[in-house]
Amino acid sequence: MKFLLYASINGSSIGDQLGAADYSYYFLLRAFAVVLQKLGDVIELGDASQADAIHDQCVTKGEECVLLSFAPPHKTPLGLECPVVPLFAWEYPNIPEHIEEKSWHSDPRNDWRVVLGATGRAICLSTHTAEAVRRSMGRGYPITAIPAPIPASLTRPRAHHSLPHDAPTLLRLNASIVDSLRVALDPNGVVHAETIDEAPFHPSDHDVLPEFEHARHAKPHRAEDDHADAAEGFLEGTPYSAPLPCGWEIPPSIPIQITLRGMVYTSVLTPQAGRKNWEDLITAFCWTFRDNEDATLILKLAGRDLSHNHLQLLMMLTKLSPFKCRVIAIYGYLSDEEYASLAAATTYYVNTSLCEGLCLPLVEFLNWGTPAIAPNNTAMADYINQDIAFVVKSYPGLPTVWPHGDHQINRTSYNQLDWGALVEAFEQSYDVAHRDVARYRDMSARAHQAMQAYCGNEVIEEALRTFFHRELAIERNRRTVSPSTRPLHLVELDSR
Amino acid sequence: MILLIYTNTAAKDVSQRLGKPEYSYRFVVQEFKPLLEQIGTVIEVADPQNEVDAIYEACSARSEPCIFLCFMPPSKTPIDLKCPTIPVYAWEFDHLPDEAFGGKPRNDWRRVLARLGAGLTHSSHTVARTRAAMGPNFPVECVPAPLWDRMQAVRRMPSPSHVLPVNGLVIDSTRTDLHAYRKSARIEALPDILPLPPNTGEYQGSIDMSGVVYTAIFNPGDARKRWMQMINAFCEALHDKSDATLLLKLTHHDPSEMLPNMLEAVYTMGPAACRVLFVHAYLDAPEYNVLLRNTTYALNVSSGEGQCLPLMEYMSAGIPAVACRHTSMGDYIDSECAFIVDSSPELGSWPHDQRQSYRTVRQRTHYHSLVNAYRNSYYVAKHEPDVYAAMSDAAARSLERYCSMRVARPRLQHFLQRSLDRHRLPSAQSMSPTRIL
Repeated sequence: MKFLLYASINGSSIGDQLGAADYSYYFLLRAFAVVLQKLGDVIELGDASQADAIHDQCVTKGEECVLLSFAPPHKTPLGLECPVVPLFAWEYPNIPEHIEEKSWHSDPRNDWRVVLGATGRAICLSTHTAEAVRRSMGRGYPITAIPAPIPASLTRPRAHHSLPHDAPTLLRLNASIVDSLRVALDPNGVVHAETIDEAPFHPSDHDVLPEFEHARHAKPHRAEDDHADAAEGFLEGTPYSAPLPCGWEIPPSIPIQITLRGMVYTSVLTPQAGRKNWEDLITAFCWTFRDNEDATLILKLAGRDLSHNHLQLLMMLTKLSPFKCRVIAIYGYLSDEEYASLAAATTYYVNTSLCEGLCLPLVEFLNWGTPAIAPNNTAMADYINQDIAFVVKSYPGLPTVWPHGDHQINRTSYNQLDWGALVEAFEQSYDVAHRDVARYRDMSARAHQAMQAYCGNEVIEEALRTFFHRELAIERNRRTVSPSTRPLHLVELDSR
Repeated sequence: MILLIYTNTAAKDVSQRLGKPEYSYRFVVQEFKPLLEQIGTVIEVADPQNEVDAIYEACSARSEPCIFLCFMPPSKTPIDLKCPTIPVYAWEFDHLPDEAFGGKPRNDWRRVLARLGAGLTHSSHTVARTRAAMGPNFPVECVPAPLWDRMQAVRRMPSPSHVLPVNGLVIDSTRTDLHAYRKSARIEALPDILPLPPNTGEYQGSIDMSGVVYTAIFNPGDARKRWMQMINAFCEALHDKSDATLLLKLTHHDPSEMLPNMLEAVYTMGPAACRVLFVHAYLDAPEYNVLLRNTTYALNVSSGEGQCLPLMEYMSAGIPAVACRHTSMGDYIDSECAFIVDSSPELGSWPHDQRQSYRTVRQRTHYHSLVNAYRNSYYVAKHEPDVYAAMSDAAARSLERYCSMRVARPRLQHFLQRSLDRHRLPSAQSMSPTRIL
């Protein structure tokens, strides 16, 4: 049995491609390859057209051969002799059924029913996506939801670690890092000229008007003594520097050591994907913990325009300032070891997405025993529940555009997040980690167990085995019948 | 008793000032005048700094009580008059401005309110938020604009014709080339704004108002009003209903900059049989009443309201609502008289804070709840006349409890009397600087 794996982005280019369209398909390919190796030979193709030559050899040897295309349906290679199984992520409740966007240039593949009909079968990552496909292709269409597999344990689950507030954690990363403690945030630095404030002023106002306590404190209480590592320059005896002071420019990527105290909330996201909704994430965090210096939000950010995202981040933080909590942004790629150390330093993973096709980072962190704050919408409905997460309410039906179209007309929808519920989740999660260690450890242990049951390598190996066993049997049957016989669902589609 | 009143928009200027800061205080003053005239002698001043104390001193000389009701936000209320001064203000956010932003101490409303010693506002929400900032015993009272009585004549009026006479700008989405207002065209035109459709004057004299009509009257420059959701959800919910109309009456001196964006909002929802009407026209009282009486539902999905005069007028006259139940609307919206649109908190800014810092909480309207409210209300309007009639009665009754003279007068009289009493007792007055920590 041969599995040919194809993704439009490959391992050699991923460092530059983070945040590009479809970049996460490379991570999917990498995750599935590990398990597919147990079912047969795996060959990663740089070019899908190589598939037919290999397929021919296999046919000659009587070996089964199938191409797994890690790409959205409209980018699935078609016209091959080799059977193709599209494996794709999709986060919306419906799939494109019309060639309705100008930028699709009348390419029929943009009606996903055409592609899915031609391949005759598909794998997606979530029940939500499988339902969307069945609504378009008919109940009997062979699509199976198989999430990306994760190894049993890369690190020991969180439950076995000391809790983060026990002692400071050192995080060492070779990356471009922004630390809110090192940014001179000043709410007066922003002026919206179109906003009209006509309140009068008279110099005597200061004396005439009764005084009140300031509603907001300007500085974190213990910035000086506790964040001593915020001094400039290399830390003694190490090649690491403290986080650099930062303005409107993104700081250089150098070895940085961060001392983390208290609760650490982490989110891995691409801001320019609006559905990731980092505005709610950042505003709710800074609002909840505006008077609490023991809470840190770490944002691991990828994208094609990070310098723009950096400005957006600084604008948000400026409008939120002053606050005592801490926000750290990591721009760009982290090595696997660094990523694991970030997970180890994290108390909770946070997802505030309006829709997800899977959310691999959330799954990975849960697997490492990091409980989450997340909504249970779209793909997350398959694995987020109150045993392992503080579930944030969200409401479906908010209109939006196809992510890969012209962005002119709303043709699908995603969710509205309940910001108030997110604030409550931050408060409750902090309380649990702070005061109810037993419950935290329980959530942590369950998170690991739940992810193993959901998408552990063995579980996924079994799911893939069942899928291919069934589908390749059908494929063999099809070949033995007349070559013009087409799968039933394709006939159904044509007759619409 | 002499009641001095002031707001910064003169009655004669209001049409030019529509959409500018505090323009709506003029309408509040107009609604309060009949009530105030039942309580005392009302004198409207144009220049408080120069007029108020002169009148106050003349009153003092003849021992006549005199009080100054300044229909302005606390930050714009005079703080150095001898005459007892009470700001009459609307506020729709969870946190009163409590920072001296812009370098101006008066932007910290706590300091002004503490200095003046009392405040008058229009909803129990604002009373609660004021007490949260000032302490539980701070003298602040809720008196909404008492417009219910005035609207009863409109309610009893015989049914008018389905033709709305209008003299102004009208855009009918079903007779407009919406494709011209797609996002890419709007962006290409920048920095210019797309021109309005060529046929905006075509409707002079009459708009057909038959069918199920949802009316919202608002300032399109006010982001709180959430017109995008109003339009999107309407087009989604009733896209196949050619007898459904969303009428947006725009209260602004010049809405031509916002209209292309509003047309884009219609375009984004794809082809629809339902009709969105944009009306920018001055309607005199009889025309306004024809619009009201031809309206099936009054619509409000704002992120916050200090009272919302148009919604109060419509409901007082027996028009049920599609509306949220938060902030001041919590005082008069319930499921008997309205299709309630769900909402939940989100972070926001004080509208006049030039920093636009995140300092308060407002309400996020739940889109799908609005879609359902449109669908359910349309069904009731078409198929359940008894339910509709009961909701109409309930709307008038609910607003009677909220903003009738019968309710407002004793409350205001009592409040003014206590304010005068406090002013007479030097120990209780807060005219001298104090340190409140």
